[in-house]
Amino acid sequence: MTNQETKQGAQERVRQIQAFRQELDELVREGVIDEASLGEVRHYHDDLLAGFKQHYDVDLDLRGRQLSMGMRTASLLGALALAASVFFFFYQVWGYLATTGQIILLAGGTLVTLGATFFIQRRDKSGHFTNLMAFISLACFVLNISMMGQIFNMASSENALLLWAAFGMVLAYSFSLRLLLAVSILYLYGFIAARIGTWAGLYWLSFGSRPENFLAPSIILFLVPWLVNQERRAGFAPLYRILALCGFFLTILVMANSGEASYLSLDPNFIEGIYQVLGLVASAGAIWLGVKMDWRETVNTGTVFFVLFLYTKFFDWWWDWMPKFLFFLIVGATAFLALLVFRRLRLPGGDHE
Amino acid sequence: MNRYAIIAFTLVVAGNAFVLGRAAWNRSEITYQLPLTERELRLPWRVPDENSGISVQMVWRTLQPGDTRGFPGSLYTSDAKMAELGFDPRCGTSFYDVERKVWYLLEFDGATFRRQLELGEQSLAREREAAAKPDASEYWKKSIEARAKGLENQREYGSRLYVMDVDTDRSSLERKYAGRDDIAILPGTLGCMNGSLMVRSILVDTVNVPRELRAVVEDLTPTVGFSAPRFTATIAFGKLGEPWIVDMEPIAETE
Repeated sequence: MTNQETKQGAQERVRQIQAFRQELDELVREGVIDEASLGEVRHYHDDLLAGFKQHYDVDLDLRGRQLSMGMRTASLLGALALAASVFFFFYQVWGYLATTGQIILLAGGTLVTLGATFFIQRRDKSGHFTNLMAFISLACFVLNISMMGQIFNMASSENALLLWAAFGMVLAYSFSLRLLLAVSILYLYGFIAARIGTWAGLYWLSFGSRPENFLAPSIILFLVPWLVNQERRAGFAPLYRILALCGFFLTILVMANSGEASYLSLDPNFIEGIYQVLGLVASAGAIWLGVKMDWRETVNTGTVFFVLFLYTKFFDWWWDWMPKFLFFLIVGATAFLALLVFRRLRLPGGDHE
Repeated sequence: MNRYAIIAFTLVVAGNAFVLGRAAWNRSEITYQLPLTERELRLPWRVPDENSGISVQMVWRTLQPGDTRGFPGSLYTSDAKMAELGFDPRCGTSFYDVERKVWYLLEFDGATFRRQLELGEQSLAREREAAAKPDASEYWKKSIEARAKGLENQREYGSRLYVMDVDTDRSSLERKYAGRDDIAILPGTLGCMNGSLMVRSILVDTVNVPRELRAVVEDLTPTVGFSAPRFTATIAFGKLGEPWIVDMEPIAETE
């Protein structure tokens, strides 16, 4: 069942109706059912599609979907270009303004673009212009806070990341914007990792020198869709899971090769070994969880990292001494084995329910 | 107006209010004030057509043993002091070495600057004595004269701002150096290289020149190497150790 209170939900329902109609056409052609008996269903769907078109400006055919894709790309490029334009404009004029003027321009720019975003959203059924304006508003707010720090000669702080994350998330949830949510999640990632680093005695900008700082935010972000219901926002829950899993597994991948970067005062080789095992077990676990919960993105991300962990290990163990033909034969054999496992999972009565 | 709009507008107002409040809190008391010149404040290269803002960057040094020179920014401390700052004597050999936030005591035109000149002179005297031997090469003699010129430039035009002490606790530095008016205690980051502590940064060493003072430096081009200072700037440091320019004056050129 889809949530038809959002544009993405309505678009998903359109896809279902179109698939249903294609199948009905087949059944009519094969004589299984009679066209005359479908009049009411077709009429109901026509009304539904017209309503979706009117309320959400959804795409009703392939051409519409392709054009929408083009508009999304144009909207993204436009947002990036306009954000850069705002940035360069401020840099070009700020030196000639008194401090008060600088503050008014910075805060005013954010407030005006924010107001414009909410204004445009009321008239923009497609959502592309809202997306563009919301992105510019976030860029203005980032510029606002960072330039205020520069004007008053302030030391940088990780708290700014939290502020930007909060602002971006409010806009993302307000308008169901996945791009803005992704940017906000990255800000939040940075904030939590930096805060953990400072608790461990590091300067906040050094948080990257201890990759383990990223493990806790990965777990927290992975749990967000469980803790906060995302059903009304199509695509939000998978986005949280993809970014959280990428952060988690990349951290493990780095730690599996750089044990000296750990907080643990143990032999670096031993630490690397622990993370290598953890990488294989956790990525296999992600595949299992993804299959179990029907989370396609979790299965895909888990698979990519499982292969990465496995092949990295194969390379470490065998590349130097093994004949190359044998090395690639083993790599190929593991791929064959993986296919067999996945086929087993796809079978009715397998783990996939 | 929906609740998301209210939250978003509140975040913008609260964020700006927080930054302004923090700046006001920092500037509510001048904790240190130093009368610096272009010797200690470098004009960074900039592209005026793209960035109309002007800033000056503090040039600070650390005391270097005169005959080994060392790395710029090296701090020579005991193992006990290193441990107190959270570093061990084997630090600084890994790509993953960390930086820690600390408080630095910077001294302006004081004993550390004079000690550095002394060490330089002693080192130079030793080298001149060694080069007086008949088998000394011309190249060696010339390099000693170049070092002598460098030392003279350092005395006349070099930065007199020296990192003199470091601690994780600001108040202990304040107590230790109470009553001095030629210092500033500023936040910075400390790292390590090959077992030696390194001043990685003074957190805010770039100071924005406000519009009302920009005429003093607007037409000056950044200099490379040593030259006579062209402006003075009084830099104040507030409660949080963050600086601002109180006053700026051009220095009249002398023939």
